[in-house]
Amino acid sequence: MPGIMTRQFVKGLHYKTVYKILISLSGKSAYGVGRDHEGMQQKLVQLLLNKHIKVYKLSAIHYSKILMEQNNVLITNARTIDRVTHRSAENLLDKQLKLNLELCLILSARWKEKIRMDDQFWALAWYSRLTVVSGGALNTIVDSIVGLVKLGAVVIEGIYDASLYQLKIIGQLSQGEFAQVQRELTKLGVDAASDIDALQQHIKDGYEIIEPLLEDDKSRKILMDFLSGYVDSVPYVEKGAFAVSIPLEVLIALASMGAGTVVTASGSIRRLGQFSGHALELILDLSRTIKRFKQRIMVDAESPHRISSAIPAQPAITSPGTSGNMNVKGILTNKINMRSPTDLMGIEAASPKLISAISRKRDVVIAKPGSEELRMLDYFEAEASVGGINSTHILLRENPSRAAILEEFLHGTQTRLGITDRLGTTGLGSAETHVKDFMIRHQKMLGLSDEDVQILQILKDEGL
Amino acid sequence: MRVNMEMNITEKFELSDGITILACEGYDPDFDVIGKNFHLIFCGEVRQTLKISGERILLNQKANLGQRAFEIRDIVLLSPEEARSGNWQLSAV
Repeated sequence: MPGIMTRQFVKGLHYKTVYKILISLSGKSAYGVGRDHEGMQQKLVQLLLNKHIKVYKLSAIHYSKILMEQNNVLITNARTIDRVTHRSAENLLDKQLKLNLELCLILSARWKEKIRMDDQFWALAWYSRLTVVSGGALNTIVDSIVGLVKLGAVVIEGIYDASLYQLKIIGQLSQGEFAQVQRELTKLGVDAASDIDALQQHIKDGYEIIEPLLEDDKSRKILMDFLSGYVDSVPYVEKGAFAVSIPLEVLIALASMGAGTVVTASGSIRRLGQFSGHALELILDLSRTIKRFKQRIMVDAESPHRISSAIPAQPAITSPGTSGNMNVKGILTNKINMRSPTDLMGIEAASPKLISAISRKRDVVIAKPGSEELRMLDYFEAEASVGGINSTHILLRENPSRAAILEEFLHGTQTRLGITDRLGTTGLGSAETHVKDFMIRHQKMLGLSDEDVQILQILKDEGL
Repeated sequence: MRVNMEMNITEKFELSDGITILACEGYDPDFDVIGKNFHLIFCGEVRQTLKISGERILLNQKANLGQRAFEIRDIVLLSPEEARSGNWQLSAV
């Protein structure tokens, strides 16, 4: 029998609310909610369209199993947290669950406000709605400090199934703007820097606190789910140009908290950017725990399997010939026969950050001099190679090009999505063409140079 | 119908994660070899049965264009010299 499962707090909606809606839809009268069938149905449709709830179709066995799944950080409830909390104060999962619960509570509160405001908005006559939206569209910086939004943010982008993130500093602050920022930060309870240089140092320090979460698979999932949920929860009239990002004041506050300048964030900071003071405390705590885990892992070099199970997002960059954390997986077959027989190599070098981001999703191996991996690449005079289960094992030369690593990464995604099987592997219109077409179209997002795109275009036109 | 598909081994690479790569030529491009069992043959004599588990995609390949790189997860009882001799074949079981 198919069942329906939602998260305990699905983008801010308590599971009991969803349950009541579903009961009413089934025509039963449990909990006395089955009376207004039509109204509840409309409500559910509205919630679904607004991406307020996610509904999964599962078997009855899976239903109960998933709700009790302790390792699924997106399914959080107090009982699960209690259970893992008893284990250890250093429990990474415990900290992830607590953070997720706090973030869900923030979304929950936001959704109440959004629904109220959206209801008001849609009740207006159409000409009034236009006026409200044109006014609201200017408001793209809700919940953030104006000067800092101008300065930059941690921008998070999704490429297929990988998330890339970076600290983007896009502008400079004038003395006047700095003074304004200083005043606003002080008002919010954050230790404002004495000068612009100190402010920039705070931003860097804060980024170092948030970065471990972005590098850890589960923690990143929690943050991404929250940030995208936050964008969804922005009332229609305020939507403007919202993006999935972490504003700089959050980094500054984290840096202050990390340095102990803010004694109790939840006491002195009530709200900052998208986060509550308590959420920032939990982020800081989680960041420290992840760092401690990583330090322990570096010391414990003899337990490579513990590395991948403790922190799944630990970059799997490995060098053949060195002792280490090579991920060996079970036997599966793949059906790939794609080639790019040309001397057109990528120009733009891949940054360590890009390699690290892709390593979170794939086993990336840099072929070192003297290794069999390099001998194989030399034998075929190939720039890179991908293979293994579902094309997840990427082999690169030292200092690989950005285009090479992205293409190898995307081949894996194509295999997983069945594109390779559907389009075939060689010739025009094949998966090779498809991936290059994707890369050309998303040149900006992938950060490819014009020269790289020209090369890709030639390869694509030749069906390579 | 029994398929008689043979290809010549030209080189062998032992990757550090335990997977062996056999570079092969003379294959039938229409024959799907992935997941199939092959005899490792020298002068008609079978030394071992192997399963091809996958194939490496080679980006911007410039040399040995007529060859493909097949992944084998079994231990391959073939020395690099034997592989390079050109005397060994893989024959579909």
